[in-house]
Amino acid sequence: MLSFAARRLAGVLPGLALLAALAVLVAGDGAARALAVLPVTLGLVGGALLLGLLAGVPLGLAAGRFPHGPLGAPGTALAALGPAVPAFLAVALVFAAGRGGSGGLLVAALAVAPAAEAARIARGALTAALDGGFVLAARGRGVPAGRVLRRHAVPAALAPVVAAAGGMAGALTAGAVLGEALFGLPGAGALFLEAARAGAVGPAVAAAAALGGMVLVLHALGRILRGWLDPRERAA
Amino acid sequence: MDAGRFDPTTDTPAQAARRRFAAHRPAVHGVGALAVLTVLGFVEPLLAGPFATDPIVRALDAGHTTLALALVGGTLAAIVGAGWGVLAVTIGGRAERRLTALAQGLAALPLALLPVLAGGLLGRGVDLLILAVAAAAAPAAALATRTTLRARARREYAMAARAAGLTPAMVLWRHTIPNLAGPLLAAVWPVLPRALAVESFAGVVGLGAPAPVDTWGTLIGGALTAPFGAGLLAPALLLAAALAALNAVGDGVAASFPEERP
Amino acid sequence: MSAPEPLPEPLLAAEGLAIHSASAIIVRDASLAVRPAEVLAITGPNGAGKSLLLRALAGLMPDGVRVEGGVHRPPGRVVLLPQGGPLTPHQTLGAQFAEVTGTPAEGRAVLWLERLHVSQAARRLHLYPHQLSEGVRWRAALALALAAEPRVLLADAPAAGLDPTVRARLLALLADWARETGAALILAGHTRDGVAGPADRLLALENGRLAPPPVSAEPVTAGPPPGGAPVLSVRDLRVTFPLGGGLFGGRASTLVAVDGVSFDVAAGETVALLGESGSGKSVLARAILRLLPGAGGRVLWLGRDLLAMGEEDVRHLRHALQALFPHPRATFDPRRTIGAQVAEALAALAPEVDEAKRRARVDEALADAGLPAVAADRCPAGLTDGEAARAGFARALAPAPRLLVCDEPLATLDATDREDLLAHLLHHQRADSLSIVFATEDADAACRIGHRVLVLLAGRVVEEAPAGVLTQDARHPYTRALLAAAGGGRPDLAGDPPPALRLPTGCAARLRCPRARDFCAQEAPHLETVRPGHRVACHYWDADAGEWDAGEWDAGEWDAGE
Repeated sequence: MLSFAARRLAGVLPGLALLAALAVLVAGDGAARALAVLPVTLGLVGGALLLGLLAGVPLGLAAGRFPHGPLGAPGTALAALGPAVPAFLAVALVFAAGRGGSGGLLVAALAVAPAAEAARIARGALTAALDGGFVLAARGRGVPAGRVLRRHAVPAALAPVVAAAGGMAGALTAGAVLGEALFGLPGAGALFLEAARAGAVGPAVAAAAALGGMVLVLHALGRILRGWLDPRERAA
Repeated sequence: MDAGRFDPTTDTPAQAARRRFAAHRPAVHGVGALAVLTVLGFVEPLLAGPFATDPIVRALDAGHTTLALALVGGTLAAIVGAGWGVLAVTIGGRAERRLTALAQGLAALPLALLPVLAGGLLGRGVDLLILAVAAAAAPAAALATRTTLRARARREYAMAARAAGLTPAMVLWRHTIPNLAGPLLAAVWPVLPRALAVESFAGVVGLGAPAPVDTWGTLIGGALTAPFGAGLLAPALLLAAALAALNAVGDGVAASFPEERP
Repeated sequence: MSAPEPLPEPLLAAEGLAIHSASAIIVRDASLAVRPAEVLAITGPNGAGKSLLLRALAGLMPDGVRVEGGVHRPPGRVVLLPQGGPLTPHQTLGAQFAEVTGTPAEGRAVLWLERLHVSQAARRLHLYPHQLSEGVRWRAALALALAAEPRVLLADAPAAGLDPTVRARLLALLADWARETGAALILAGHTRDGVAGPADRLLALENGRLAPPPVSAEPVTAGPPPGGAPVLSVRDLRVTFPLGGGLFGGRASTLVAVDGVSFDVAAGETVALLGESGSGKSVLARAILRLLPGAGGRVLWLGRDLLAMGEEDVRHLRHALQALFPHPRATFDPRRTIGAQVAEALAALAPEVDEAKRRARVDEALADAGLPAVAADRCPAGLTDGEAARAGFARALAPAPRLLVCDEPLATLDATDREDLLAHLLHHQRADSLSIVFATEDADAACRIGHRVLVLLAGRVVEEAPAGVLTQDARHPYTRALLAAAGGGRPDLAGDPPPALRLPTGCAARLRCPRARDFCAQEAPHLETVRPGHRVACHYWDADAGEWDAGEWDAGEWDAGE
């Protein structure tokens, strides 16, 4: 497991190096400033991911387990809503409705999109796992239904959700860029937007590179987590 | 041999695909919604007259521009992405692995920032916007194309066709390509909603299509400073509806070409 | 005279069982009963409902399917092993065993794995399912099912997809277990999956009804060999595939799929290529027709070397050299009709025939294959397996070829279709002096349709003889195992076939062979003559068969290892 994690992280290094080189080349000292404000964006994106997964996964699993019942309805609705409301749109709506607000409100707004995506993936993955032969085989051996759900079906359903977390990070970054500017948070996103609007090449490219690097690392972390949940990933 | 075993309702794969699409309710609703949005966008200016500055009217008006931009950008992304994927699979070997790894690396980045960067540093313009949107959506299309080609290009009927005396060129043109067209369409369709989202994001932050051109994104961006009301809600809801519709149609297209079991 | 012993009470009985889905009745009024230590086999075509029937007996129905009728279950466990023998991918074997045996201790799990002849069982308990080879995975799935200590085991197509010798042996192990422990065993599957072999009783599920299978007609066999000069001569055919070089530009290695095979085929004669997966029979069949690159040696068709000719020249000869492939439906373009594709083949192979005559030939070919005229307007998806196989026949026989190379053409068919098509093939052979090369893993089909049989192992011929001689006096242990598996008996070969990339030194079968000795590892055997027309490549072919009662031989009982 450890070697797998190391390999994944090592895989990101070339990309990170490239981005760093680009930033330094174009921005010189400005690159350091972009890195300095990156943690704010990381907090927003990371927080939104966590919140979104915490909310979306249980709802999606419920929708997969009870596709026609009332327990599964919220998950199904959330999953259907997902594609319609990308992160930046949710941020814009929440900002306009609330006339500003705290960073916590921003995180909540950002979390809607990953929650919906997580619900959609979890629902599909649980349905597939429950139809899959190994669940029937476990029940066929006499393993009780509750244990089969908890130990066999659900872990298999979680792996794809975690793998997609990296992709969600990319979309969330766009939302964070808008959100920082609107809510007045001094993060790399706000820096990026400010520089882009002003046409300042250096800081804009540096901020973009920093944001890109952050997303790459989050991607790798998502793959590592998936490898922890699904041993087949580790062999790939 | 019992002639009754042949069911007269058995149809060709093309007909079966149409049937499956029609059976996919969200996809059909999606097509309907997109049609409505497009038509409203064109019919709208004729009826507007004195209401031209009404926010709802403006939002409806912006519809066909937004959708057109997304369509052009998405199509460009699909062509580049599909070409990339086809090239990778045709060459094969190490080159394929490298091209795929490149696409994976690019697709992982927050490419939605690309049009914003371009618009800010190189000046706002429709052409540049379309190019940047296409660049943002292409890597994912390349990955999807490559995955589909690897999964679907079955060799059994190609080998049987060669045993039946066809040249490799005839096999490719008459059999392989027509069979891959549907699944490839399903694979690259997501560029459309992605292009729409990326283009709208650029508009919301104020670096999208320049002044006289109204898109939903720019309308939303403009309404963020104004009081909360129809000025924001109208384009936002239309954008959400269009995104949902495009995704639903994409699901329907994917359902129309399921994996065939041997 | 004492009264005969009363039969024991049935362990599992079903009375008037009916299974309905939303749109159809799948099984109607099925009744069955199994007694302790009894093995019951349920055969039937694809989609007949065997899997659902087993699920109904186990009480594990899917959503949307209703069951009516009574099932009387025993007080002990009823275990269901679904199709494919699936294992939970994210749990180690040890964890899955612990769940079933109720104890985390490895001892019992190791015992069960060893009972199914898994070597290094303790080590494998720490592995995940995807890290096991297919043979070991099946053994683990079976061991898991047995570890639950059921009174009744319902196995759905157990060991399907494995090679015949491995499968027959595993089924025999299951039957042994049932008889030893007094449990009841129900096997469901196709007849070609060998479930009928170890069974005490057979039932067939067809059109929703469960009944003892009809007595099949006398199986067809090939007539006497025609003799005559060979039309096809294969000399030292060798097919290799390059494997990618190592990560750091290491030496690229090659896989030798076919290693120096030679044989002749006369007009109207059938040569059968018999072997399991990895034997090279499919590669050989395709290489003969120049459908694969990388072939060395000579393939002489009427004196001309097919491997030395240019592409266009070979294409012009293809009207005489046709082929049948394993999955008939997959060999047709799904988007176009059968009639159009047969016509297209005719157009490419016999361009001198004009349009109208071509259409007539297509209809003639379809009718000859046993398909009605409407078949010409159907797409492949609308055909059953049997119909698709007939369509493949029609396309291959339409240009009136003189050589037909078949690669497992009957693998997807049920018993009746298979007999029909074999009869059809033999009829054509007699009528048109058609030469046939028939590659298969089914020894029964090979010896019935072949005049001569070549047994292939790891790309080499290990035995060749006329079919009659082979069935009576096969000398190579591998051949005897294949014959035993086809006949429903217990093969003497243990373990799994060796992986193609890591063949054992010396004789490729030595890790599974009951006769293996040290010498077998040092030198690969060459073909030696047993009698005119019968050659075998085994160091110990002349040992008396009775000396080696391989049922009790222990040394060869382990699989080839990872």
